[in-house]
Amino acid sequence: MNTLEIDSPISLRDIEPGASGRIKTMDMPEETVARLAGLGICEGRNVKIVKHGEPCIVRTYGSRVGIASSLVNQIHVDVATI
Amino acid sequence: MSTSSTNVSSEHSNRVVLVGNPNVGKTTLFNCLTGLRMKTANFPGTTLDILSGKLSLPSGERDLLDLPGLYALDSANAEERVALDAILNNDSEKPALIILILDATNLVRNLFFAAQVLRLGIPTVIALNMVDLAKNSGVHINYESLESHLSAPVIPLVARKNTGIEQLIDRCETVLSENTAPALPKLLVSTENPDNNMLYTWAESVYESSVEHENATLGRKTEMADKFFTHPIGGLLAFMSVLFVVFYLIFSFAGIPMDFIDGTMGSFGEWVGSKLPEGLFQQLIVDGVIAGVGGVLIFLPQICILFFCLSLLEDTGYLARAACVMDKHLRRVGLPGKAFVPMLAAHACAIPGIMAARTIEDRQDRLTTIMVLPLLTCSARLPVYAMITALLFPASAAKGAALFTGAYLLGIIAAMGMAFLFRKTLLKGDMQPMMLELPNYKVPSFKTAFLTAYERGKIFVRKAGTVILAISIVLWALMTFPQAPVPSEEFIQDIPINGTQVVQQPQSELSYSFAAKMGKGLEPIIEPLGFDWRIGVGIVASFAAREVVVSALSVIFGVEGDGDDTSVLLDRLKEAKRPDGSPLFTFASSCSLLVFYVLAMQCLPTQAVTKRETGSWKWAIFQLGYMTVLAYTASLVTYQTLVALGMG
Repeated sequence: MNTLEIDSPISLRDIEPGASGRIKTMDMPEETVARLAGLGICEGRNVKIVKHGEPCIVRTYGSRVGIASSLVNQIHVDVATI
Repeated sequence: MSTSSTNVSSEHSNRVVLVGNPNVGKTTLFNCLTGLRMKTANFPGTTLDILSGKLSLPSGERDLLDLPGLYALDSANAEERVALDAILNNDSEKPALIILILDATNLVRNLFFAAQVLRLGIPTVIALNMVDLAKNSGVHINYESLESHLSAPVIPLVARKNTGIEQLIDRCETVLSENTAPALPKLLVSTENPDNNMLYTWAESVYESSVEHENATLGRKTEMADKFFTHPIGGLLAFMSVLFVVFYLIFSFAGIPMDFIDGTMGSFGEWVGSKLPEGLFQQLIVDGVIAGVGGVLIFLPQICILFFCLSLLEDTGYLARAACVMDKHLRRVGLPGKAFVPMLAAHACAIPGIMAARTIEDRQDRLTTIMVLPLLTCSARLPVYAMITALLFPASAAKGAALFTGAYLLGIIAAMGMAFLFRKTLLKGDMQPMMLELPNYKVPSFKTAFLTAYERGKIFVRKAGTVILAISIVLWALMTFPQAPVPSEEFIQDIPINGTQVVQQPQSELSYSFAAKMGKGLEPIIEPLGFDWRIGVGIVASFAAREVVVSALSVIFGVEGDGDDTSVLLDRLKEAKRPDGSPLFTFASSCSLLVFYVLAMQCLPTQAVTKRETGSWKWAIFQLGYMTVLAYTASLVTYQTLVALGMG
């Protein structure tokens, strides 16, 4: 399996369902960042989009998290492609 | 990997604290460890109720505190932070021990939380829950390796099946006797303030070296089920079906204990009445106190069944999906997805609903939710709905069901509408964006559900029961004084039965009371709604507790006995006439009365709870005011429209 890193991070909103990416930046209030970190959505972590919509469902480690699409737009990831 | 252990000075503390993520079986473990011996502990500065129980150890009993479920110590909301500071960072009484419960099926994220907790430097025992599920899905955890990485004892257990609890208690005893803080894993001490990214890197490395997974199937079934349960339409249909089943259970099962309570309190009242000398004191005890206690207990079956079902649903993981599906819809009217559980609870009783609104972090969100919760159909409205349904459609179950559904929907729509209005006017502000874990589905714990139902029932009796009892005594007085003079011809009224036969029926003593005077005073105001003074008395009498209207109408319409004979009451209501000889309860006036009782506050205990939760009478009075205006207007529109359509 080859992993290809793309230079500029893209918004999590542009990731296809089933694809994943490594979180690069999270542009939101500190308090929200701390809460998302507890749920497994944190800089440096891999997340997979299960489905877009309202809320968007993201898979991270052993669980899924439903998050507002407004937050998804503010999360930027590096995409790992095969 | 670890540094040396340090002795901590907490010999005098008797506190053991249970911490963990939500959805990891924390409540189940708490119940395993404490059984029924729990109470709620309050801490100054927060309205959060922390469960407290007794943990029996060989060396004696300890207080076990159940902290609210948290994903991270630094992400607690304002109220949780107060509780956290009072319990974990309290220098005068540091906990003697932390029992940290981790989910074996979601270990990396749980280890991230573990890192934060271990850094507190308090002796810790790790309860690794749901090891059976992890094993079944191909996750093999090396407990010794995990223990050495965490420098704290790790006890594998399945709280739901009560396995591993004894070992956990033994290790708690050992750690308490040694009184040593966990030796922090190196990575965690090397940096003053490791950031979240570092904590996750550490968690991943611990996971990699302690866990082997063969083709892990974990979450696959969950993901498949979620395709349906979080689907915008399928999920909504599923949610409606679940609601239907829950209410079906409430209706079919609650009736049995409710009849029992009703019957027992009735016979008890009669028995006490026969033992006491006749007079005011006897009436006060029988009609005031005993009837009041019965009026409190009668709510219990529905409250307990609802919380039993809610606990099971939460335990399976479904509630999170329902909140997920509902968030989008609730958000449109300015309510957060989390408002959904209080709204569900408010369908049994607004009181636990308002109490459950505490989980909503944002104050504006919470206030909006609390303000509209009493509009949802609570169980106390059911006797009124049942009476009107039986009055309108005695023979058709389908039409009756449609009327019931309509009443529920009206409550829901009104709540949504008012929430929207409040968010646009009184309670403006940005809403917290949604973030909600969708845990793996699992088999729920019936024991936890049972204990939750028990605990909620207890809170209800203690916190609302006393108010309801006091109010029923006041109402008894309002409806008793001033007393009737010796009966005179003036108050004998003709009531035709079966159309032809006419019997003499004396009006009850109620007609002389303060309540009757208030009802008569109300008549000009409520006439446009299709009501007369007798219904007015019913409204006055049920001002503090809406379900009282049925027994009040029984008294007003001269039904003999304790007012429980519904068929006699229904006959009397059907026969009731207006001064011009037309029937009092027409389709229009019955619908109008139904609409009034769907929307009117008519519940003082709820207001007492609103005051307690919002911190001021201002909100409680506002709630009463807007609901009364809303109920009046809606009833007026209903009655006048139906009459105009020729359905009067």
